[in-house]
Order: sequence, then structure tokens, then C-alpha cells
Amino acid sequence: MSIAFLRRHLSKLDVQLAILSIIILVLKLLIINEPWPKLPPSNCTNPPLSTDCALIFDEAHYVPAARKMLMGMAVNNEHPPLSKALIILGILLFGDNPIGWRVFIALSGAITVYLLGKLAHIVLKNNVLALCSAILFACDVTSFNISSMAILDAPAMMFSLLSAIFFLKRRYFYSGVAIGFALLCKISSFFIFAALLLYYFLKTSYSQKRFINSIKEMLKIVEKTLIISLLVLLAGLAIYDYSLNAYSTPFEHLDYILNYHSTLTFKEGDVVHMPITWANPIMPFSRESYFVVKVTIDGKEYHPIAYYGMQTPLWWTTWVIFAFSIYSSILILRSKAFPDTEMLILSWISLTYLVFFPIAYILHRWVYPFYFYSTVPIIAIGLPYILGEDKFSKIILFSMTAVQVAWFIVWFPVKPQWLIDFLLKVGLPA
Amino acid sequence: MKKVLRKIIIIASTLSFITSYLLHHPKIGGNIYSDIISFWYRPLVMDVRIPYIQESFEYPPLAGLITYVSSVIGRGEMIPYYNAFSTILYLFYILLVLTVFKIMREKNVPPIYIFVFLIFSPSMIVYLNYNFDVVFAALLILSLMFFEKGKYKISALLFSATTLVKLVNIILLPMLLVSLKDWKSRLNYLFYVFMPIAIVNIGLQILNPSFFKGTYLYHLNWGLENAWFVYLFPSRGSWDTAKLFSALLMAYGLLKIYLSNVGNLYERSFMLLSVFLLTNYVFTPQMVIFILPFLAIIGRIQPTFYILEGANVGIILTWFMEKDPLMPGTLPQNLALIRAVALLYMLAETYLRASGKKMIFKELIKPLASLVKIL
Repeated sequence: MSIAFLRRHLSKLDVQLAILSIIILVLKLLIINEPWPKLPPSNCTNPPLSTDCALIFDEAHYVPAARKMLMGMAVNNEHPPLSKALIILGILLFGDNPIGWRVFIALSGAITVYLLGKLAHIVLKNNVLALCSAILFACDVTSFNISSMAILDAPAMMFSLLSAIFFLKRRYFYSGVAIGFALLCKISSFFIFAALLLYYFLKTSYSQKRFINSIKEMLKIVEKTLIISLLVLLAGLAIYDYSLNAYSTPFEHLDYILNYHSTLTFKEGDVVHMPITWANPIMPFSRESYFVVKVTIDGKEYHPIAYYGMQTPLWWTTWVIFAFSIYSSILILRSKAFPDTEMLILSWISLTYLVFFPIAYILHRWVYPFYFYSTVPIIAIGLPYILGEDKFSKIILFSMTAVQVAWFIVWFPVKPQWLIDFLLKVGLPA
Repeated sequence: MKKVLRKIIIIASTLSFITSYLLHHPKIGGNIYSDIISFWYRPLVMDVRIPYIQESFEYPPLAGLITYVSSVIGRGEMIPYYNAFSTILYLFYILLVLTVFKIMREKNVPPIYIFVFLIFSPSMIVYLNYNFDVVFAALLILSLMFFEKGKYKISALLFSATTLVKLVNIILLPMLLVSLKDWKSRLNYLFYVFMPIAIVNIGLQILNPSFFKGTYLYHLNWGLENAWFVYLFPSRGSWDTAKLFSALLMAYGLLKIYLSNVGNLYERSFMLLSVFLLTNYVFTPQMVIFILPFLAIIGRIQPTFYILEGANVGIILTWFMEKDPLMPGTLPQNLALIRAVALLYMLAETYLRASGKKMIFKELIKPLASLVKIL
């Protein structure tokens, strides 16, 4: 009876995705207190910040900002406040320690896994492939790391994926509200939404006989989504600005955000990981150490804590998926149909990844490989899409998923001693 | 009867113009500021220099020609220059009034509206002898009249001339092109619109390589002037973003009208110009003259019009009472805000009426109500 019950329920995608998300959440919670600070918060609020503050990567910006905001100060205004509000909520509930800083971000990160699976199911219309997508994304070690630390990206991704789900389900108003919250976490969430709008525009242009009708249709969608999202963003900024006396109007705040980000340009001689190195296995960017603890015993070196920003096997498939989507689009268009999934993939990759090429190479704006986090979801959906047709392709897909999981285990940021021993024994980096 | 009415209109218009002439006359004590007189203090007019070639001028070439002709007649003297400029504006004003009267007659619109909107409206009196707006309005309305009659070549040439006075009419071009029947006639129309513009501008650019920068790019450096959204962007440092906001809002508003298929040629022109005025980062009070002929042709008195007029005239009357009249909270900017609300109401009313709906409060808050329902 209980086996039948389990079998019946475990075969449901929702249950599978929920279990996967819970596993990811548990993994995140198990390592949430590593690294733990040796200094009190009062010594870790103003720069220079010691490594003893135990702040991983950009936590050095956002955790002190959250502390100052708790004191009633308006700081870090170059970014909208919602993710920082989640960090503050964690601090209020669990104290000013790594658990407090990271708990809601980790929760957001786990929810993104579930949402990615749901999104993949809408796109791929296949439970196994959708689950595969969710595993590929969940075991993307950089995405896992980014969504485990107290920075802005995981909540932004959570709301962005929610928005994408609503958008593809044609519930545009809710999609607008969700992207509004994503913008309130991080302004660059707009790129994902722009990709959805581009996809819709291409789709409408194909289906409508007259181009003018497709613009009409597009305008309706813009009204239902973009305008709503801007209203949510402005309302959120207004609450922040008036409560902390930061700016006289949310528009002035928005002006500051836009100006600040347009001034972040690099000079000749600066070391910048250009976008071409992000998804390129031949000329990859060098692994970025977000927080690494090195231990040497008997001449053997290992890293019990090692948060890296790095490529994963999934990232290497980006250009293959992109090229395949173009090729497949041409074939489908020739047969007088609209290449729906291909256009979604192409739009998403173009506006979350390719867009950084002109930004970096022409505008010389600083770019970082972790920006690829916005592209990872569509790669995780795209790979099962191109390898989901026949049995042989599926074997490749499952093998790649296994490699992605193995990669995740090898580069897991906080390793238990048994894993370190095992990795050292088999000669893998630990 | 028609001839008598025509005479009355000409006499009334002349009286209206004389009032405007006297209001801005530099030798009359308590005169009101006008751009015409402010031009006089520049070397361009005082020293009778050739605009764009010897001296830069921030208005398009036909506006420069009017200024140059006036300055040549004036020979460095203020009053003859003022009189010459006024005479040119008067001729265009009469052209405007008579063209609107002709259109109204053809559409059986009661002539009272020409008196309300084009002759005795406070904005017309105060801003008539002020800048090139009446020239712009006259050429534009003439162009649209010929367009409606199917005389596309003359319409396109007049449209081109309008652009050579002020660039604003370009926003009407997509509407005109869409209403032409095929691509050949659209290309023809475009050719006659852009050929004169191109010839004049390229010629001036060859004669003076900094012509384009001094004439057109000059405006990009302007800040917000009488735009309602100065209240959203109160500090000068944020005005570049305000201009971006303005551009996005304008693109949205214009697209909405282009795609709506609502209203006739004149109603749509009114709506497009209103969208422009409401969303542009510069909405100088004399620009209200752009929409007055259309209101006369539409032939409906909206009580909100008087609020618009009162606020619009108030802007110039209170302008010099403030230390920095561009800042939010000052009298001119408060009046500009009231003016914007009134114009928005008139725009919404025109839009709803043209689409067969009544201007009722329930209709206005419909989008808001559906939003609340969803929530």
C-alpha cells in the first residue's frame, strides 16, 4: 500500500521537483555556517573588511549594507533594496551571523530549482526532460554558490523564473508583478524579461499577417507586463526612499542606479574576464576564488571551504545549443511553422549573454563571469531540448547530467572530510 | 453671409493680433517677454548677420529666414525689426485662421469655435506675436487640408516647410503615411517631404560644418522646461534620466495613437500633438498654439480648456517672479502641472469620444478597477 502510494506520488513531476529543491535546500543549510566570522559585526561593517569577517565574495558589500540599513542608514543605493531586505529579515530572525545573512537567499536558491523545473516542463512538455533540466541547474556549482551567499542574485532569479512561468502561461499581469519584484532585487533582471518580450514579439510577428498588428499585440503585452513591473519597482523604491530618507522621489533613485552602473568602465591594463571566456571551454576564464580556505597536511593541499566562480560542463554546451537552435529554427521555418522553443532559447541567450559582448567590448563596462547565472536556466532547458529526441541522444543527455552532478560533487564549496579524503585518494582536486 | 463672416473673422483676428503686438511691444511699459525681442539682443539680429553661416541659430532654416528678413528690414533698429517680424507672423496668422475657417465650413462646424480657440483664446493672444509657432501651425494645417483633399504633392511640400520651421510635425508623418493607400504613394509623399529638407540642410551644412550641431543638437543640452515630470525628477542632476523617461513615454503614447485607428485626421493630429506636448521634456507655453486650430476644427468646448488656458498664460506672467522658475514648487511649474492635467483630460476625452465612448469617470478608472479586481 505504502509502496504503491510512494510510486504514485513520486512519479509526479511536482513531487520530484520538490524533493530535488529540498535536497538542494538541505545542502545549502548544511554549509550555511561556513565560513563563520571570528570578528564581531561591529568590526565588519566598514571597510577594510578582514577575511575573519567570513564574508564570501560580494557579501562584503551587502551584509555591511544590511547592517547599516538596520541602523536606519540609506546605503548601497546603487542596487534596489529587496534582496537586502531579505538579508535584514534573516538577521532579525536568526541574528547577525551567517545563518541570518544567508538563510532567505538559500531558500530563494532552492525555490529557483523548483521553478526552473516547472519552466522546463512548460517549454519541453516532458517530465523526464524537465527533471533533467532541474538537475542540471541545481548541480551547476557556480549557480549553487551564488545562490548560497548573501548577495542579490538568487531572489532576483527566483522572481525572474516565476515571471517567465507566468509569461509563458499567458498570465501577463502576474508576470509583470513578478518581474517587478525581480527588478527590486537586481536591476539586471530586466535582461531576462527583455528576452521574454523579444520572444513574444518574434512569435507575434510570425503569426500576424500585418506587422502593424504584431506591434499592436506587443503594445498590449507591454502594458500588462512592463508597465506593471515598473510600477512595482517604483513603489518598492518609494517605500525604501521615504522610510530611509534616501531620495526625494523613486525616479531620482532610479537615476542614481542607472548613472552608477554606466560609470563602471574598465581601463587598458585592467584584468577583465570578457564574455567570450565565460562559456568557452577552449579559452576559459581563470577560476575566480570567492572564498577559499587552504589546508596543507603532509604536503597534501586541500580546500575544506572553496567557493569558486567557474565554468561547469553545462556552460560548455552554450554555443552548441545556440547553433543548434539557429539551425533548427531555419528547418522549422522552412516547413511553415514557428520555431517556438528555439526562439525562446535564442532570445534568452542573446539578451542575457550576447548582450554583454557590446557592453564589454564597445562600452568597456566591467563585466563578470557570474553574470552568466542569468543564462544558465535556458542552457539547462536547451540541452535536454536538443538531446531529448531519440534514445541515443537521451543517453548522451543522461551522461552529461551525470558529469554535471559529478562536477558539482568535486567542486562542492564546503566539503566534509570523507569527501576530501576520497577526492585526494582518487587524485581529484579537493 | 459667408463673405461677411469672413470679414468679421479677419477683423477680429487683426484685433487679436494687435493686442498681442502691443503686449510684447518693447517700447510699451510693462510689456511681456517675447522670443522675438530676445532674438534682437543677439548679434545675429542686432548686427544683421546671416543665420547658420555667420551666426548659429537654434531653430530650423525657415525660422532663420524669417528672423533674417526681419533683421535686414530692421537694419539694426529694434522697432523696425519688431514690426517686420510681427508683419510676417500676422500674415501667417491670417493664413491659419482662414484655412481653419475653410475646413470648418466644409465640415459644418459652427464658426463660434474659431473665435473661441483661434481668435480670443488667451494663449493665442499672449503667445501669438512671440515665436514661430503660428507659422508652424499655419503651414501644418494647410498641409493637412491638402492631404485630406488628396493633393499629396502640395501637402508634402507644405509639410516639409512646416518641418523647416519646427521639427515637431514629424510625429504626424507615420499617421499620414499609414493612411496612404500603397507603398508607391507613401514613397512619393516621403520624397516630397524630405527632398526640400535635405537640400536646405545639406546646403547649410556644406556652407557651415557646425550648422547641424549649432541648430539641432543644441536642443539636446536643454534641461526640463515646464514638463510635469520635473516633480518626479526634482534635481537638475537627474534630468538626463528624465529625458530618457520622456522619450520612452512619448514613444509609448505616440504608438498608442498610431495604432488606435481612432478619430479623423484632425482628431488624430490633435491627439498626437497633445501626446508630444505632455511627454516632451520641453513644453514652452507658446506650444499650445499647435493644438488650438485642431480644437477649433473638432468643434467642441471642453470646460477643461479654460483651466489649460489660464494655467498656460499664467506661466509667462509668473515666470519672472521666481528666482529659478524651472524648479518644482515654483509658480510657473505649478501652473505647468495644472496645464498638463487639463491637457491630459482633454486628450482622454477626445480619444474616448472619437472611439464612440463618453468621458465618464467610470470609464477613466476602468483599467484601475480591473487591476483591483485581479488583486
